[in-house]
Amino acid sequence: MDSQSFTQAVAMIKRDFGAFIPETVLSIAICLLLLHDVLVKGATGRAAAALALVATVIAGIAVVHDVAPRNEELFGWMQDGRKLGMIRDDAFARFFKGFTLLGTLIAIPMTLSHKALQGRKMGEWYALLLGAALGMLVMASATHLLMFFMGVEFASMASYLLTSYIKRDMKGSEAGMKYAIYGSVASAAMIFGMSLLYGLCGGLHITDLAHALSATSTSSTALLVAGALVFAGFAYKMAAFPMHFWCPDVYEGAPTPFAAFLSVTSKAAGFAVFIRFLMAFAPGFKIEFGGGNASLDWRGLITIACVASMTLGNLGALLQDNVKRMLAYSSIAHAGYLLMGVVVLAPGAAPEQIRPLLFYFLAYMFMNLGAFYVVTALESREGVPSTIRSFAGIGRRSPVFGICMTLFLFSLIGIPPTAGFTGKWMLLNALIRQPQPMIWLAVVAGLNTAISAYYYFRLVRAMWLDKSSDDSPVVFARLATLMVVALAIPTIWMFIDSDRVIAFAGHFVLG
Amino acid sequence: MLLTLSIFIPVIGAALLLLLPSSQKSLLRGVALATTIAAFVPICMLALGYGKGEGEKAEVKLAAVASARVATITDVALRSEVQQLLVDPFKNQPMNLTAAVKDRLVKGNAYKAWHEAWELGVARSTVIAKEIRYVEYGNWITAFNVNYFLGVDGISLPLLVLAGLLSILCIWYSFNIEEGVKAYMILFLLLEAGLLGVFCALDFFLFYVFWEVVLLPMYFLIGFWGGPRRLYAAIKFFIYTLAGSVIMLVALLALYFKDGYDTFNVLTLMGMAPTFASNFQTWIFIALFAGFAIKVPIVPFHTWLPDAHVEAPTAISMMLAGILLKMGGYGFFRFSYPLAPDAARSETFVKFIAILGLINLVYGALCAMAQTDFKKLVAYSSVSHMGYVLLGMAAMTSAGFQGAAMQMLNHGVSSAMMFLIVGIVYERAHHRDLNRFGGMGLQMPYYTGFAVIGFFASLGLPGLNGFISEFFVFQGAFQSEGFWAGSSVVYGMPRWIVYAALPGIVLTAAYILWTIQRVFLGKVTDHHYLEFKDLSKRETLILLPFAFLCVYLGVQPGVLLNYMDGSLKALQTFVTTKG
Repeated sequence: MDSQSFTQAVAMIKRDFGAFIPETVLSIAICLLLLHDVLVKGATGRAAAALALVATVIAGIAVVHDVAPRNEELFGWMQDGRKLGMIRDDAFARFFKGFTLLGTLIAIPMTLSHKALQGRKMGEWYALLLGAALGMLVMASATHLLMFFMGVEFASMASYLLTSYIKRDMKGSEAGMKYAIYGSVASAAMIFGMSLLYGLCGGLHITDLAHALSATSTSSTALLVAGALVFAGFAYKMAAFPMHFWCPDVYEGAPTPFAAFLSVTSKAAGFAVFIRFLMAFAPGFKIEFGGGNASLDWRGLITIACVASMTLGNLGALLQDNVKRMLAYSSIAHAGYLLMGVVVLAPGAAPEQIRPLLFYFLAYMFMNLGAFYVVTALESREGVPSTIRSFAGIGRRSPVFGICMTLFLFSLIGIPPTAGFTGKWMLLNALIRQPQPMIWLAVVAGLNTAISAYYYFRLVRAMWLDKSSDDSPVVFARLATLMVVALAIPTIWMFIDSDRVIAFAGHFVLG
Repeated sequence: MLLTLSIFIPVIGAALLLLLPSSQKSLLRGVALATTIAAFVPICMLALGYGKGEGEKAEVKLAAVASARVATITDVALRSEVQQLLVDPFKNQPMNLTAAVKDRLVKGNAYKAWHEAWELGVARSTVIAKEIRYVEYGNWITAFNVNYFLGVDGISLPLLVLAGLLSILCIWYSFNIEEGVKAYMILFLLLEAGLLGVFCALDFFLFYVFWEVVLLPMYFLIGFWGGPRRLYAAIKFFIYTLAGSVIMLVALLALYFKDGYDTFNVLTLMGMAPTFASNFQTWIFIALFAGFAIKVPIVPFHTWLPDAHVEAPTAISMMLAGILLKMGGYGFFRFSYPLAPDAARSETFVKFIAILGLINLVYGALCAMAQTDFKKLVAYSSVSHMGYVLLGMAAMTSAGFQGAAMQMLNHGVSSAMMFLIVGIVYERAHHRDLNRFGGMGLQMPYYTGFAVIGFFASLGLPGLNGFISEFFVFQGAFQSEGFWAGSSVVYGMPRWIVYAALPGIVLTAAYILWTIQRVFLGKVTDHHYLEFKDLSKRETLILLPFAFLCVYLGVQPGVLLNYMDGSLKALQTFVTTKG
């Protein structure tokens, strides 16, 4: 390398580094947190939490600090007159980075509210949490299949450990093991699919794929297999059909704050990377097989996953007594709802197309983390896993928690006046507004909503209408109360002032 | 401003209650009562103002908003083009816009402004809109063109007054609730807010939101404070209504996406309704029917009603019978008929509604007669009385419409009063078995006096309010066949339905007189009854307005008709004229 190109490279790295600060901050914080456990004696976990909190906030500020996204790839190389790289800074990536960091920010106090995680040196926990977040930031901005894989693995590895973090907890260890095995299979499938894609397309950058597959149809069986395998990897991250089986066991076994984190941020990162992959293809791209007699386009595949996820998720949730398992099935169902937002996307993903999905993600973050927070607080107080029965009378015994939880559940069903209603409405609206309206899918989603009302209402009923053995008031920790209320406010506010949030969500297009 | 005030005062009151300590029961009750009274003040101002012809008219307000929207277009040439387009909004609707024009509007950033001005142009041209006043209009969710659009006319205003008044009386009667006073009052106030919203929302999305908001507090009010089978009754009520409203949502979406209207403005949709294909209208009518029929309720969708009414605490039964059932009837008047006029006046649906009305009337009365539970009897009498509303609507004559609209109100008064009467005796006797009562007339003379007024009003005794509306319904229904005989577009309701419905009156008289006989006449059957005190001061004061309304509306129905007439005529003209 001559000196001139070296100087150029250094200049580029210097310039691009500005968009890489969030990841850098998290990396430094991870190192500090690991040191914390070694160097600080008799820590209670508060200091580690504070450090993680500060790092997350700084990373968050770094995501938004320069307002306009660069819409170009970072640390890249020139190819065919375009700058290509491994990760990209655009509004879409910014949204999911911010989203992940906000989810992390909520997971930290949730950890503090969780009894089983008290009285330990928590540096390791937060280091892993930030590690998972770092993986998700990478997923949000990756443009190269290797980077996709790196991000997914990074997030997954940290997740396996976090799931079985409480060593003597049998359920946790079992869940961690299941998660790891399931995850490895999914990753193996994904990387095998990617290797096939590499062979077929001659490159691993998504523009290479787009270039190689620019025709609207192809009849390569290998491509079909590759596509299906890669999709399996994404579906595993999104917790969508057909790779959703791990969800209930892992959520049940994992420490609740982490299950909450997983249900929201991990899902979002999965969607982010999936959408970026999908948008590289030509519109209406399809694979023909069986001698051209049948064809499968991406939309068809997603629609199947969408319908199956929401239906299986909701049916599975109907009979669950363990609240975390119920929320796990509900999260599968929500992956289905969210996939409706992917079905309507066309390459480029114009603001009108992307905003229902992003709005729903925001709503989902508040309502789902809110519900999980209530579960965390209750579980920590009772010392046993939350069942529907353990919610009996909570509404009367702790009205603030009762009201907020009811709101979260209404929002998860999609009843006004909550963000979930507006979000679901937007998704259905987008389905019907397409050039070829998918009314049947909207009807399926509507029926699913009615089914879901049944099991969410089991909780509502338990909280308010069922008799409890003991009617004394329950007082939760101040932090938990504060956070639950703080999560309930946006759940309502996003309904009332939805206009502003919709406009906000419309900014985050792929660049 | 008055409408917004009346809707949000209960919400503010609920928020205030949330801050008060739950141990201060009398304070909580006082604040709740004060809130309902405060919410009633703007409603009264509306009612008085409407009678005097005050209140901003829909036409004027919408025209002003439309011109303000057009004024936001900065490009002068484009603005004048938009103004040209707006001269004939029915011709220049979104689907008729040429691609070139649309492109110009979109490029010049004027499409949204044009679209809103267009829909407001259509909205204010309908006959129905001419009667709507006290209009409030503001953008809410611009991305989906959802607007905060409120207004009242002669059909909704009396219901609004009834809702406001019943809320006060029911809250007052609810002072006997001892358990969970705070939650009860908060839920009740939210219920009131939802109800008031339902009757004045003119944006379909907004209406749907209020409709659902009514549902939720009701679930808790029945489920927590209800009788022994409350959980079953509450979830049954909830699931029935939710199923109905989800089907209604489909109609709402279908209208929104129709021909690129992209609007939830009910008046705009009404304006375009005559141009809808008859097939489309049929589907819209059926989908809306599902939502409203469950609320009315129309047999065979009525099974939630006896459960919910019987299990609910007295004040909530009063609200259910007095106001919630009227949401269904109101829905037919405000949405089903004007949005699918061709379907509404076709032979199929006239007969369909009329026969369902007939079934409601007779079947409800027969069921009522078979009951031994006092409250269940009153619940079935509601089913029977809502049959009159359907019969009157199906007639499509002015007397029929007037009868149906008045019956909604009169039934709201008399059925709420009957539930109150049942509640008062239940509180003393702790049972509702009709066969075990007797001789209350001797023991509780004042109570019996009020009860007789309520029951006779429900029976349709001349001089009381029920008579007037039933008379109008039958008159209208009887005229219908002859009135529309020459008309090629409106199908006159066949007379045989009226003849078949007449025995319903006799059955009503039978079960009511029999009930009076069993409860109030004869000797006191149980020595416990000798300890019953007559009405307390609170009970008397709550019963008085009901008794007054029963008599007043019976001898002065003109007061009510004056309010309703213009709107009902407009509705009738709209629905029965071929567009």
